Amino acid sequence: MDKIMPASEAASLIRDGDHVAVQSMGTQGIPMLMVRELIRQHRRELTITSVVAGIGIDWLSFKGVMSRFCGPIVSMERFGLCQGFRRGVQAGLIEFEEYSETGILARLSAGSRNLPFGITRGMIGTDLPALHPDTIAEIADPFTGERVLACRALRPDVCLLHAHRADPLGNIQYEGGTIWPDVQIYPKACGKTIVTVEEIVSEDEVRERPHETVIPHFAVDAVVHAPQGCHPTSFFPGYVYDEAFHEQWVAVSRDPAEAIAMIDRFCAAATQVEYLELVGEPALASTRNWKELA
Amino acid sequence: MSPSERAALIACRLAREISDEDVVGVGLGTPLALAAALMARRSHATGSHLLVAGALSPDADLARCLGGAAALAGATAAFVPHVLTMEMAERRAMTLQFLRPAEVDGAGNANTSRIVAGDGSVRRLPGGLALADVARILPRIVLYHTDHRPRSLPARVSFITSAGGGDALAGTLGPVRLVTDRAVFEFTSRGARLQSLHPGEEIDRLRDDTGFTFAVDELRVTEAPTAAELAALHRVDPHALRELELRATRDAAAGRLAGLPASAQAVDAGAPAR
Repeated sequence: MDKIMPASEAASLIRDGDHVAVQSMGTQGIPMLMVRELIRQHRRELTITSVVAGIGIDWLSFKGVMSRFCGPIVSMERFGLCQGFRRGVQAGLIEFEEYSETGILARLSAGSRNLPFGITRGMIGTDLPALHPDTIAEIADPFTGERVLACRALRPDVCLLHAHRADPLGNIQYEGGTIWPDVQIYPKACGKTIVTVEEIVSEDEVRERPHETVIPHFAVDAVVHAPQGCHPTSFFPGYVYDEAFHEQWVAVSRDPAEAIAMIDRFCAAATQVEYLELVGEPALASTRNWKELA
Repeated sequence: MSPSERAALIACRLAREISDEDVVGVGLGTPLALAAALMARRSHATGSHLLVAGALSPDADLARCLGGAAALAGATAAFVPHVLTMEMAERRAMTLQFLRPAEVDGAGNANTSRIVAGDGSVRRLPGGLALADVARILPRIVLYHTDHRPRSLPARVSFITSAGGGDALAGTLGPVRLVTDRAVFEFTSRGARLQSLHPGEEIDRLRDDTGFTFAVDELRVTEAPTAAELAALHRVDPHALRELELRATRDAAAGRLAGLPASAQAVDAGAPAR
């Protein structure tokens, strides 16, 4: 079965109100084509989970797509706070279901293994556990009596990932394996898996490098072709984040009208090809080089 | 001291926390801590290890590190998958992290979640990522802050994202020290204690500008960066990008970074090799 489809069709696998786990490590590895498609299709009331949410979550916040964030941090690293997210939370439009990193990973990991809960030594003594009486509980280690936190299993409806290449069957490959936590956990914990890829290759080409298949085809529901699909975030090892794009976003996102105008300009692109034309080759080329070394 | 001198002092002071036995974890959002960890490996702690953006002890300057994993291929022998980095922290194979919260109180509690203002309005902060974990787990946590004033260092944080209670002598978990742009504090079971004042600071003004109370056993001055330390710092951060973390110097530092010429060497040789 051919799983390659346009972003618009893949997005139809996501319904209003779904819990969507989105690959994201701050300025790294966000499947932005699908983020833009959710905005284009006016999805509403989504809960988003990411390990380090970045610009993609900020866009979903400004456009009213996300009503809840479930995770440990929303930050663009050195580019600072996500202003749309902050405004949304402060206005009561977005709920931040805040956990520590080991807390959310324990929840997802338990979900991926069909266990009732995971455990962590983190968060004890903080104000975080009391926010979550339904998902976090302090328990005793039955063997030593040590107090630890039980973190209830989490199984989001869908996950959005980005990878280097896929074949039409949906075998997903990462060049040299993968360093992202999301990729290793989300497909196992989530009901459906949507993957955008830099490159579509044949099944034969995949078979030449089976050790690079990280997600086998039976665990994948949709494949979308998205060259430089994480722009303006980076995708290891192919391209770094677009520094100027992030700086521009930091500047305009102080003003909601300007922020939404920028989002709308880029979301007007119906396809990845149109989007890359909007961004322009000079900006794209800048992400394929980093600084002159000292 | 100028803001630039304060940034250099903070970086050098943080670096002095690192010894040969340390495995230091640093993220891309804290250039001062990254400068400190890079510098320690080039000066007094050449045996220490550093994990930044997954890269193991990259031979790279701060500018290159700020490009993240994609900029570090060729400069490192290993990328450690993020989940494994977290597991290293959990089993204390990582020994030290530097963390910069929005608020720190005298018990060493830290807040990166939300601040409640006097009028009851809430200011949302980014969240703590692994702050709540590592402060409870790692052998040593050192907090720092680049804007020492009562609002940043209150009597009690408005939300406890990570718990204090650390006492290096007693061996209890929790942050052991706080380095600010004006002073250094130690946390003990009896609360905060001033360890040293930065050069030029006065104790009375520091008390006025610190929201929490602290003990003073002896008035000491933070040792200014030595020529050797400054030379090592310059080697790993010639463009002073550590200054991205201070309000007064942030924009100028971002301008310097943006103005650096692109590398002649591509991040990756185009299409994935196969």
